[in-house]
Amino acid sequence: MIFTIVVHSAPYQSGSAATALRFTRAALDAGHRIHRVFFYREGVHNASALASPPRDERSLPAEWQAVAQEYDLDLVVCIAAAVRRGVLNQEEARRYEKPAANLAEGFELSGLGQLVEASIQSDRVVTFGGGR
Amino acid sequence: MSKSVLVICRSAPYRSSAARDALDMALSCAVFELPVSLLLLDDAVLQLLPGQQSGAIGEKSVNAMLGALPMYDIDRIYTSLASLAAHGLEAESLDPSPEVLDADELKQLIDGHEVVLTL
Repeated sequence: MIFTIVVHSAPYQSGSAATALRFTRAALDAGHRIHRVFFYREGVHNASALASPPRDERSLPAEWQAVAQEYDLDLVVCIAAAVRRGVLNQEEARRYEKPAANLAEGFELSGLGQLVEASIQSDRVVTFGGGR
Repeated sequence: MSKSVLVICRSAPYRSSAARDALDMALSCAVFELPVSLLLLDDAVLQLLPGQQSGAIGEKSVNAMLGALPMYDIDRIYTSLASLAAHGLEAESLDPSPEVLDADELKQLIDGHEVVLTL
């Protein structure tokens, strides 16, 4: 089955982002395909290259990067949600004249159209987080 | 391939970015010419109250955004009997006026859409 995963929560906001990651791994391990992981709303903070948890704690951005590399996953961050919240790639940092970019490698900024396209292509769209 | 999409929002208009984000999702679906419906449950039914003067708290009003939905052919807006009752509201006093569903009809609505996006 082809899944699209939508993540609405930031790493420490709730358990939802970590649950989304475990679901993604479990689906892949079971032989399913993930068409795309789409990070929206507070979920954009999963894509911060500057998150620096203590070494003995998990780092969700690093874990997303690892699973994406392992399975060649498409990690897309909603550009409007990300720029509002201060998650910028080099191009957006230049556009908004900000001193730094912080979008982690392996993630890509793009529009909500990527969520719609993924919904069309996938058998199931599963949303994690939100409710606020 | 065209799929029907249901966007479900449960948040009051200025509690978070949910109201705006739900509408942005619905509009994006409409741009792809997917038939899209909006289900406003619980506090989200408050998004439909007319005459919101949200400028006083530095927020953009959701009235204008909701008012623009018909231009994108999004005219199916639903709520539940329970959501209206919880807030003592009548559908006729809301703008746009939603279609009101009971619990069984809610199940049918959700079941009747191929993609369900929640916030």
